[in-house]
Amino acid sequence: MRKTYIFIFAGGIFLALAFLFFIVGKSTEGQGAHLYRNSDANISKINLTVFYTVPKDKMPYDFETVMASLEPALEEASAFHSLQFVDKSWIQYSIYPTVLKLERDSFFYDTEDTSRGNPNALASITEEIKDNNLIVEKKGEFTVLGIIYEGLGAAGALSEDSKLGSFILSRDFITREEYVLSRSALLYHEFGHTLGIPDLYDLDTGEAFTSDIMGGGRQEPLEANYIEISTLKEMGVL
Amino acid sequence: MMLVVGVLPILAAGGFALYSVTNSHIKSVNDIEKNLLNQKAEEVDSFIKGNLESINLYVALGDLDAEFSPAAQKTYLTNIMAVSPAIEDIYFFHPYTGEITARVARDFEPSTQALAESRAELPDFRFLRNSFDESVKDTDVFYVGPVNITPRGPEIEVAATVKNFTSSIISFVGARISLSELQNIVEASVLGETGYVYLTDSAGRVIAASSEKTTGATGVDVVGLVHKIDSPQMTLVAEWPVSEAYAVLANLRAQVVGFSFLALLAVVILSIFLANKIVRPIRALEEGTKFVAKGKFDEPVSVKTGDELEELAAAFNKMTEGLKELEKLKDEFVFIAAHELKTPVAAIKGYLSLVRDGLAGKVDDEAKQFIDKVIAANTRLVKLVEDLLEVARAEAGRIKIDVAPTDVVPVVRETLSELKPLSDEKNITLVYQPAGGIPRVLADAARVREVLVNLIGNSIKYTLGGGTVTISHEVRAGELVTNIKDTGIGISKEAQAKLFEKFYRVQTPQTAKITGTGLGLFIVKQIIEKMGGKIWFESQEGKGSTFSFSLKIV
Ligand SMILES: [Zn+2]
Repeated sequence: MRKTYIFIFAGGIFLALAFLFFIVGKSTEGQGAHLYRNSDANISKINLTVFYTVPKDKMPYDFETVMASLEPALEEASAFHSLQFVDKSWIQYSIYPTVLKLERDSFFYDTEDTSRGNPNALASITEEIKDNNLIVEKKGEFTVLGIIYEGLGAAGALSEDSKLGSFILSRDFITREEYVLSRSALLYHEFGHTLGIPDLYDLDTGEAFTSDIMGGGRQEPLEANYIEISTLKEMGVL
Repeated sequence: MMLVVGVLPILAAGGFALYSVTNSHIKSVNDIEKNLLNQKAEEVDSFIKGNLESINLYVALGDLDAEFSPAAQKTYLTNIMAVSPAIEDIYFFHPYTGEITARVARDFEPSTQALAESRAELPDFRFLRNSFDESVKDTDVFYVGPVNITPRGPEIEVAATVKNFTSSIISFVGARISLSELQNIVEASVLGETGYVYLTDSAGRVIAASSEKTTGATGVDVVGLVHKIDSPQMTLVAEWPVSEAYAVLANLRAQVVGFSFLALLAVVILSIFLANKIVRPIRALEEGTKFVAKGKFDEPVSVKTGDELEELAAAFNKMTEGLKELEKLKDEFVFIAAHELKTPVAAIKGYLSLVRDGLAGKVDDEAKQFIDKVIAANTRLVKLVEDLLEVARAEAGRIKIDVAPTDVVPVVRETLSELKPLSDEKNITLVYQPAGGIPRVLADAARVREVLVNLIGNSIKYTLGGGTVTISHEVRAGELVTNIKDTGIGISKEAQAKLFEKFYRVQTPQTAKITGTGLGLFIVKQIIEKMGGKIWFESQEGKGSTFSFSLKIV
């Protein structure tokens, strides 16, 4: 009788261990990437919605033309992301189907100084889009808002609660001939900021600390770009 | 014993073979992987070195500040790129300012903005600038960065000093080198059917692989080996699924086991064969001695082993021949002696009867008694002489038997009436109630009578203090069997074995007073066998005996 109990006991322990092994083993194995230096915020799946926004006082650029450049750039950026994150994170992107007319004039969004990428416009437009319930936050997914702005600016940031990322990129970088080679890289550079990755060049002198996408590489073709190993290590990829 | 001696070394050898085969195979699997990785590492190394060589520039200029114009620089770079297919991007940067002074990219025209970017300020390049500050002469300084994974493939960024002919550094050259060629190098790895090789960067990212499978994470057990490469930091890994790597081993193991088993079987069979070879001649000799013990000297032992045993058998046969010769001489002596005794003994018998009957003068009663004793003794002597003669004849094959269809019943009756006085004297009942239609047999009536007298006489002799002797017949497989059954003292087991031998007499206190020559049963056996019959008996000590003999029915 006693022996039976011992057997059941031992069997129970064995099963528990096996269970633990599978569960724990699985969970560590399947662990995705996370925000830069924030292992609590999982970015296995990133839900990116891109808007072409135009201040009230500006004329929109031909939407089709913007799309013709934006779509391949997004596709390229998305593929680049998968490659760099070794499939531990992937982007599901969509483009808002029409021009998004902003509620105010460009003066309100631009303010005077756009030298640091126009974070003022970024914050205001993000707020406006959120307020209009134009983005759907899905559970288990990290939401990023992409703003192609009819005006000056290139910036990316993470909300204070680290729940929402958003970036702004002047429509010029998308459509102008001189940025054909680097537009995808610029787009991804700003997107990188939404994941918390800092700039790796001197904002005052332009001197690069690295050749990667967050440094000197932001002005090179995405095809030739990469993300620094040290950055990927901070995001649970390597 | 022989088996153990033969089998142990084979088991030991098999075990050792297994052990050494296993060991050496594991070692050779390792060696194969090691050699492969060494070779691959060498190829990878020479690829990297070759590309570094191509940017190790000596520019045909005399001194530091000579006009090395951007246009001339660009031509230089274009030429280098033309001969170095792995170079994706190459540029000169200024030793003082770090500013890019000329740049050529393989797939695109670098933007003016990108050109303005001072790449030389990257921390990885700073040491190159430090080497410039220390004015490194006659030394080639190279910088090799880590592996970068770009959409167009894995790359490394390298840099080197540019010197003039006085070995003064006049510029720096930087380049991005595609590592796509490494895929070709790694792909050309052969490690059995299922083995594979792959190359990872310092962060463990796969740069090149010979197979879709790249790590043991597939859950398959592999024999793996790792080889580190220094510049850039990379790791070559060889993985060989155990199922194949050690398959050869499994085969070899099966072969060794199989061979050992066969050897074992051979030893067992061989030892049995050898044992037979030695034992059989000895058995033959043993059988030979049994024949000799029975007095049969004409059964030579046949041993053809070609060794000492054959010689021994030959000596044995020679001895048997000698014995046979002696036996013959003895038989002749006995025959002659008996023959020569027969006449005087018969004469004594005749004349004693005459004396006893008073034909030679009056004989008083006392003398008569003495003469009777002499007559009785002489009668025994006559019997002995007759028996001896009979034996001698039998052994010389000279017993005269005239076989003819014979009715046994009257012969038995005659014998019984002849022996009746003897049985009456010992209070023994003779029973003989033959059924009608007893078949006739092929026999010599006189000899059959002799046999019956002997056998029935023995039954009477060895039945003490009254009893019954029963004679019966039975027909069995074309033969008539005659049984003489008594209620006598029986025959002991030891005595049974020797009963039909010459001069053998059962020696017990009970039989001490019974007279006989010990030749009767021997003669009886010879007679029966001469008539084509057989004789045998069954006996139990203290309960009686049954003697039986068979004769062929006509
Ligand atoms: Zn930035």
